[in-house]
Amino acid sequence: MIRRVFAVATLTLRGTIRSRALVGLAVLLLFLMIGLPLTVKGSGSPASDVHVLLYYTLGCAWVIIMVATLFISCAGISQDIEQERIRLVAVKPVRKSEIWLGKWFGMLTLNALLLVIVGLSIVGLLGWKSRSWDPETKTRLSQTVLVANRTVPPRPEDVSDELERMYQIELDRIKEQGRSTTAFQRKRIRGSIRHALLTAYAQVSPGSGKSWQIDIPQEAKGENPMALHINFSPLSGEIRSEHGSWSLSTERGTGVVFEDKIVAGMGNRIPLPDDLVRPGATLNIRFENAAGGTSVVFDPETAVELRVREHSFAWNLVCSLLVIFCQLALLSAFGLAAGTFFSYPVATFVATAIVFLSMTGHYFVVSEGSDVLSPVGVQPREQSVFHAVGETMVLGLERISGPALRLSSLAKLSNGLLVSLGSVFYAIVVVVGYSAVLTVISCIYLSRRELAA
Amino acid sequence: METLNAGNYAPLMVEAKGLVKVFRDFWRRPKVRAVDGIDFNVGSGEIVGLLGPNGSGKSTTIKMLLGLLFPSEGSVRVLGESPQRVTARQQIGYLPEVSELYLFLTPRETLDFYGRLFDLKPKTRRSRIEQLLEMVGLTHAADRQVGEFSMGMKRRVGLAQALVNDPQLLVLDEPTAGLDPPACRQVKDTMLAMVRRGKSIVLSSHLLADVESVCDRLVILYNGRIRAQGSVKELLTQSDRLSVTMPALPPEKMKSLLQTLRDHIGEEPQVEHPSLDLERFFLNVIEDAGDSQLTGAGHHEGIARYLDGTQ
Amino acid sequence: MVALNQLITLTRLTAVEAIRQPIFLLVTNACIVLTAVMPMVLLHQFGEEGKLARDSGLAFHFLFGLFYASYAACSSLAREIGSGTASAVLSKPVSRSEFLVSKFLGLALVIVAFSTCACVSTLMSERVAERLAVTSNAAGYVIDWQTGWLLVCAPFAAMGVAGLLNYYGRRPFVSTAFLVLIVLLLFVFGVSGWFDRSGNFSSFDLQVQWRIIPASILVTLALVVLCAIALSLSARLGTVATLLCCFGIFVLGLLSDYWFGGTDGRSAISALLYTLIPNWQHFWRADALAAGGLIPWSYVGRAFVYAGTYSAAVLILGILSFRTVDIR
Repeated sequence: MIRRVFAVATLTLRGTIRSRALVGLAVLLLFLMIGLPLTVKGSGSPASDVHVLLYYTLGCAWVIIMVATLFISCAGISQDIEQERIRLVAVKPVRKSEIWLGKWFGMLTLNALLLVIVGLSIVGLLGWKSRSWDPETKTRLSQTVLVANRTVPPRPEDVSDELERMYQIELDRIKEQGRSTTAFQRKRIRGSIRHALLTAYAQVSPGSGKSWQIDIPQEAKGENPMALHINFSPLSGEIRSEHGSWSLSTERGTGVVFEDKIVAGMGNRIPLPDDLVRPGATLNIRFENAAGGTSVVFDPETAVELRVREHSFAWNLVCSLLVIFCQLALLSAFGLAAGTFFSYPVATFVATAIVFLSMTGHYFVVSEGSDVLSPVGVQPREQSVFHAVGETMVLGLERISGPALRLSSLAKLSNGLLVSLGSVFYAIVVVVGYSAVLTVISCIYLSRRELAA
Repeated sequence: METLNAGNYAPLMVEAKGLVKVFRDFWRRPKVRAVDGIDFNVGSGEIVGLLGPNGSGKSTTIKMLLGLLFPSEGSVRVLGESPQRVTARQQIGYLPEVSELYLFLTPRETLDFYGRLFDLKPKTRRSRIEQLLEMVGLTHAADRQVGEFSMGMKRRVGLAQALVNDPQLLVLDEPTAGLDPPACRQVKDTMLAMVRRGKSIVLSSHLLADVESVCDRLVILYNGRIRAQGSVKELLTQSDRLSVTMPALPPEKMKSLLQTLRDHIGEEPQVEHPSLDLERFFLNVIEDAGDSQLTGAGHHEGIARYLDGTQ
Repeated sequence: MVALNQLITLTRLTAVEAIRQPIFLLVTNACIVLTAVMPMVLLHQFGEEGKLARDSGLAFHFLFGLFYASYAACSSLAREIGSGTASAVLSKPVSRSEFLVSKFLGLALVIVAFSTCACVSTLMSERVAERLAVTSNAAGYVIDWQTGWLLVCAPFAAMGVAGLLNYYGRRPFVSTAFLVLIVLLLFVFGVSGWFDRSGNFSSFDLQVQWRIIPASILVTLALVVLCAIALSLSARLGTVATLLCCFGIFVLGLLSDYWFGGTDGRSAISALLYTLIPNWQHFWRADALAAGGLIPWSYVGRAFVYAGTYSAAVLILGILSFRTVDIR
């Protein structure tokens, strides 16, 4: 079986390489990898240049390879069937599953080759850019962006009691209006109340303060530098401005006031002294907003976090590319499946549409607008079947595509955050799981399909 | 309808009973009844020819034998198994009417690809590929992409891939279409060599002379049904007539002979010089010319050694 | 005169063949249904009634049209060459230039037909979108559900009718469905004029924003330009390669202003690329319709000239390339 799968995989790879599709793709990628960093300028600093390279350039390359993968994989089987080439293969002692798997592995090999080229290009471009960096810049970048930092968030705000109380008030209010709610709507209501509460807690007015507690992980290695990342914004006035004072303490040491300037509107990195923090300790961070100043807002999730260096940038890049490879593998399987059921243009359209809807479906919220003018005292209409169907579809799409959509590593890579092995294994599990389902369904259909009709 | 018996041939390579194929439209309504109750056997070591006008069901029957189409009714077994089973296809070679090949592959790569699907050992595969390329006269173009080939050259590649696994059952749909006379002769010689080794061949063709010269039995289809069947000799022999071949005689003796015949048979006998068939004459001319010019595009060697049993 | 007749014949053949492809019906129906559904699923209007429905409709028109234009162009030529019909046609007294131009004209006609459906859908979708309605004793936001439902159901009804005609009359499904769809869309368009937003019968008033039409025409011109590009590329490249190139050209053209800028103060290469790559932003003027804005017809005229010139230039390159292609 392996030999036959390998034969079909080699055939697929050969066909793609010898087709002009790959030439066009290579030219486009080359243009992008070289042209984008030259034309898109960040803030001009080396850090923003690296961010542009890692996020935008690699991101664009990812999108292009993704689209190409979808187009090429949709053609994999559908064009063989349309052009009747599959007949000569189908009469050989080869199972439909072997044909399908061979095509898929051929696509995987192609994707791997493309990602290796992209990865090497990124490394090459970084090397070329780094020639103009001074040693201090290199050190700073190796601590902030060109690194794999694990983030340790602070203990979450406990809003559960307040959340329940406000949630119940809202439900009662809706009931008084004579309206009913679905599970989907209740979930949305709870989410929006929670977000509103966290936002309210995130605001610190002049003269007041806010505290965070971060539990330093037990397994954090003492020799790996730790740093605090702080990001917040003023409610009014100049974006980049200093506000209040910060202090740091643990159960071991006394409080330390930060000497460095901590500026709103930009990411602040504060290296922590080794003697102050140790694995297993609890870090207390306190912010006191100056009286007479401006209110400031802290993002509930990313305002303050501890970053511990785990691995190098090379590790992170490899893991990130592996996650992207898994995404492409899933897309290949999806495209091949679509090509098994439909003709090439229909398969391309359907596959692209489903992928697009999966990625953007959660942005659509079923309208709750009324459909008739409601004089005072008249009961509004119940939710229509259209709303119910729409909600079910959106929820269903989120549930099915959710695990696949959570495979995302570019944002982490470009911010120097760790792309862990766990996320790579998760990606592999998702790919294997979804691809297995697609393979089984496609092979069953292919074996029942008349290939000479 | 009489069942087509394979006679003393055993075991049966192909066994089709009550084969029916109805093509339906989107609404599942019958559109065309392409094959309408065929009972069809092919024994070991024989060549069976499928004849019929366009639309008679020949290609549909062949596709059902190969598992490319599913019978609406009836059953078909190839080498004792359903053609859907992978093991049955291990011993089948198929040349379709139109050879749709992968245009980006060279002939060598094409044969290598199909050879791998049969799990042929690398050494065997390589040896067979070279022999087949030589046999079909494509050694000079072995490393050019098939997309650049003429239809005849593609046909030869198609023939070669049908033979790469030295099949027990060879199914050929218009095998000589697009081939020059020497290549046609070679195809026929190949078929005969394989049959001598106990292989079986199902041949579908419009070229009646080709069918007549190689087939053991004929099946004539029309409108999806068998209209005539039997061995070539049985079908074509006019048992109530005689033709005699003898050396030419002097005019006086000829006159006396003719008068004797006239007295016995009561009608004017027909006398004429026998003639070669055009294929034989053409091949003689080519062979004579070829002795003085051995190299050239499309020069054909003999049959691949593994096919005629000499390897 | 002979050449003109040949051109018309080949153009008609191309258009008929393109309309009979299932993908055409699929793309058209998907565009209409999504455009119709948009005002019913959007929660916020961001202060302007109908804006999101309008922008979404135009965006669907653009995206679906781009997909179809590029695929139809590259597959049309590839299919003809592959099936041998190209050699059958070119063995007649038909020049290759005529052949390619007629392909372009036929596909352009089909794109116009698709765009008509998309434009009508966008007009009605904008009408369906939530509006603040005030009467003597009540006020509230009202969606025109009746028109919305009619619009959503039109493609399905067209397919149903085509199915019946296919079953009883053996008419080709796809082309029949499209023709029925056009009729139904116009019917829905006309009928909606006799009802107000609450579904009550009233004096005839279509209540559509006619200023959407210039925006729709601009999008149509973009599709025609991409069709020309795809057709010229497909003279040399296969289907997948052409689609990828069209995708790349689309992305580059979309970001053309940002990457290459204008012709002032940039390098010669940037200026050259900016000129060569079609700037799709010229054809996307939905933002101009915000807050009651208009797209002047003079702008549409200039865009027409740009599209026509660009398409002609690309087609000339395509013809020059096609002249040396071996038709097997």
